[in-house]
Amino acid sequence: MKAVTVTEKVKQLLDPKLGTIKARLFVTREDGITIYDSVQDNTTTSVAALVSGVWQASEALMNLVYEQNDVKEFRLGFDTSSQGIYLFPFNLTGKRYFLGAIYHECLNPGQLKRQIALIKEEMERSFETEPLPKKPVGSMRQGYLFQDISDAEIDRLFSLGGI
Amino acid sequence: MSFVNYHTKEINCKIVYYGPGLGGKTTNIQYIYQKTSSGNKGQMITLNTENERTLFFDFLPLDLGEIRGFKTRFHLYTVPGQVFYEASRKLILRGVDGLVFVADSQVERMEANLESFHGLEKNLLDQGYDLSKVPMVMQWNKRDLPNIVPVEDLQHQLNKRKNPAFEAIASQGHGVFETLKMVSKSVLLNIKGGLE
Repeated sequence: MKAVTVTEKVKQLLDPKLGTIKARLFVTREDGITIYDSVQDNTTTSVAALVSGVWQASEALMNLVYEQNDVKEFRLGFDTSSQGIYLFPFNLTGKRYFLGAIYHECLNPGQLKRQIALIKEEMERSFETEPLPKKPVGSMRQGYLFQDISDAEIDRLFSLGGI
Repeated sequence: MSFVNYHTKEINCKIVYYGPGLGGKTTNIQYIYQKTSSGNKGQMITLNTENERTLFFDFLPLDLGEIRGFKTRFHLYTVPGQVFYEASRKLILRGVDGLVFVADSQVERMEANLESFHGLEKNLLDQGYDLSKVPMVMQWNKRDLPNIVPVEDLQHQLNKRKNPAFEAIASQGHGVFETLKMVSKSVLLNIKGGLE
């Protein structure tokens, strides 16, 4: 099936890699939204939020000391010789994302980092050579998603959340 | 940041609790966390100092039910309230969809409320937000304490835009969900992009 969204395409690209990557693998948007995570549990959303926070703080720190720093080529690592976090920024369809891995008890972190770097390159190439289908002209969504929402609907929404 | 996936019919929104230090932002989030069933919340993240003051942010992902067929997920953040964490507050405001300003009702905290609110306005403007277009709800917290500012004065000094406002005692849960529901509704109504 041909992917029509970034999320679908990233999933198609990353799912087959999971057998060979001994790490939690994820892709998040710059603003902390999960695009892909090889682990789906109650930590999934928090991982993305923290990745975004860590990156933004690091970027701000770098810019604070060396103003106007171009962070395009940066990576972020937090590791020991056997466990850690590794983040790669990359651009797809004009927006910035992070490909990340969290690993532990890893015998060869250097090799893992190389694998992640290659996956990043493969993703970028794939989006370049097979871009997502463009929306037909005139299909842009106009106005607001919801014209009105009643208090009863909000109460129902929260009651579904067990509140 | 609001992110609508029309294929999976999911909505993600970012709500930030802002306000002066020790005003009750974290208490709001903690109460929401305690009262939400386990299947509907992700892991709460708190990045605190040793004496339990917010260092970077608190984060609580809430997976609610569906509204008109769209699954909704709210990402709740608090900012650190202490004055010297201004740089962190700026970062956390990036991509915000809705704001709750938690004011401390005590007379002696009025100056801190004003300083924080002016900081919020400045930070939003610096990031290119049109203040009149960001949904905001005011919460007058700590209404159970002695020596509090009358609501009319809080409204006059902090709520010139006439945003919805709620009295609260966040430590007891009073006003916490009323505030959250109102900002959630405002945020959902503010999502651009109608259905095709």
